Amino acid sequence: MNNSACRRFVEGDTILVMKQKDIKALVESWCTTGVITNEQQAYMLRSIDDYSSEASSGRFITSILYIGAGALSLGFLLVIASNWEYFGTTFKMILAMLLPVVPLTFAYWRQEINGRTSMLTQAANVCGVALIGGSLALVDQVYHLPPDMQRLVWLWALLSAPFVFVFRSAANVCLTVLLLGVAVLYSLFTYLDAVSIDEQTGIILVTAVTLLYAACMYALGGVIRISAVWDMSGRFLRLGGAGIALTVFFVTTFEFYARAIMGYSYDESALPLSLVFNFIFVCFLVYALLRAIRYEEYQFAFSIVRLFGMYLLVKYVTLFYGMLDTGLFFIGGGILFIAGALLLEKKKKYLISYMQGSRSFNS
Amino acid sequence: MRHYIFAGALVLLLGTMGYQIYYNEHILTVGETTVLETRPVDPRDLLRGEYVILRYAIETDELVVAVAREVVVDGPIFIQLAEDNRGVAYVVSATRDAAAVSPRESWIEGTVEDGRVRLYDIEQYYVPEGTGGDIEQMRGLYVEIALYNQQPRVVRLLDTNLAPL
Repeated sequence: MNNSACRRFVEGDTILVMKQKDIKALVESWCTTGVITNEQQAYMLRSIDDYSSEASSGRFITSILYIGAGALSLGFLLVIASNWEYFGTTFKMILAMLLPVVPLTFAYWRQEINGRTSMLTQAANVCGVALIGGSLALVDQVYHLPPDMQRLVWLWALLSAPFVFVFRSAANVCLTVLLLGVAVLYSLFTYLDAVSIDEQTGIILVTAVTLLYAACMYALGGVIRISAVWDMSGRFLRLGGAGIALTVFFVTTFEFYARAIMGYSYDESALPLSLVFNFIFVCFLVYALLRAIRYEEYQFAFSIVRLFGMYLLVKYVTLFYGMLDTGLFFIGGGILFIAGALLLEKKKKYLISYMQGSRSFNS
Repeated sequence: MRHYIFAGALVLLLGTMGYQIYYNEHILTVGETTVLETRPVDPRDLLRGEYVILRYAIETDELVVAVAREVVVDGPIFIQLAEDNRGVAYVVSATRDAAAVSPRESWIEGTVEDGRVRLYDIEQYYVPEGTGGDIEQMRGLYVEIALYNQQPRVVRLLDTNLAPL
């Protein structure tokens, strides 16, 4: 189930996603047409409400859980950071070793020995991985070592990675991928600073590395999603990669980015290059939207549409000042949208059969 | 199979942290201790804790600065130390050439960056929360360090009379 407001009705090979109110309207129409009795209608409507409440509460509890795990980890880190002088170095070293080991061992014991994958197991798992960083920081603090963020994040990411294969949870994948991404970017910035590279090359390198990382996330997600165990993690990686790529492409649509690439000053125009970046962004946006619909990631598809709306708004504000320009912009945009809708309507049957064919292939 | 992966992950985690602790403890235990004159710059709050940044008199010693600027490129610098009658270290010589460093003498490794000499490994001293400001106001402070294979580690802060703070 995607969210508390949607239900999936499996009908042969076709899977429909409907809002709760639409499902209720459908059930009521069945009763009106005599397909089901009044009692059956009442039962089905109650069941929909119960399931919706359960799903919503489940998501709410999960959110509270991760907030709690994050707060607990942060609390431990802050206690460490306050430089708890009441205990000596030996105690601090023992604490550094135990901080991540205890929750991770607890989580493993509950999951693998007791066979209970509950909220508490997940919280202990997330806490333990987060506290790996805390322990590394504690060791540096005790010996008054320089705050080498690059070394810290790389070590944190590498020490977290094995637990991805132990717990096989999307949370572990999320944390490790995030840490790896921060480590890669941090190392890149450190390198660029060390070699004193020029700004244009630096910006291009950062953009390219970020897109490459997003592509790797997407590709890895595509590889692992075929396994039932890694399905959620694969989904997260694909959505995360696509989201990062969209964000980067969105940033490139601004003229200041094109100016920075070309090394132009503020009053020089880099419009031709900026238009190229805008074209690339729109093409990628459409591609991502089609892929999202194909893989039934409707929430992500809605996010893409919202991003496109924000993009249009930003372009309206930054590009057009006069009524004539604004008018022409809206006329062009309006024609595009209408043409697109007519085209989609005409090709609806083809698209449906295309998607049905894709689902049959995927299943 | 997953038991082995979990055990391996724990061993890797404990091994990494254990090695870091062992390496630093080794320097502190077997390293030769010496005292450097210092001046705290300012305390800062970071996620790692409140700490003071330490600058050392040997970093701005004329001889050291001259050697640092002989070669334009950033990189390591090695400073030979000796102790005066109070036990406070002073600069004897400096070199950018690691091969010139003798293990029988007392040398400390620093880094030349943009013509300035930095002793990164002993530049920060973590203090209990709320005490950084007091330390920053102090003058005539010294730092006792342990030296092993030219690698320094901070042992403790000392006051003007070379007594622990």
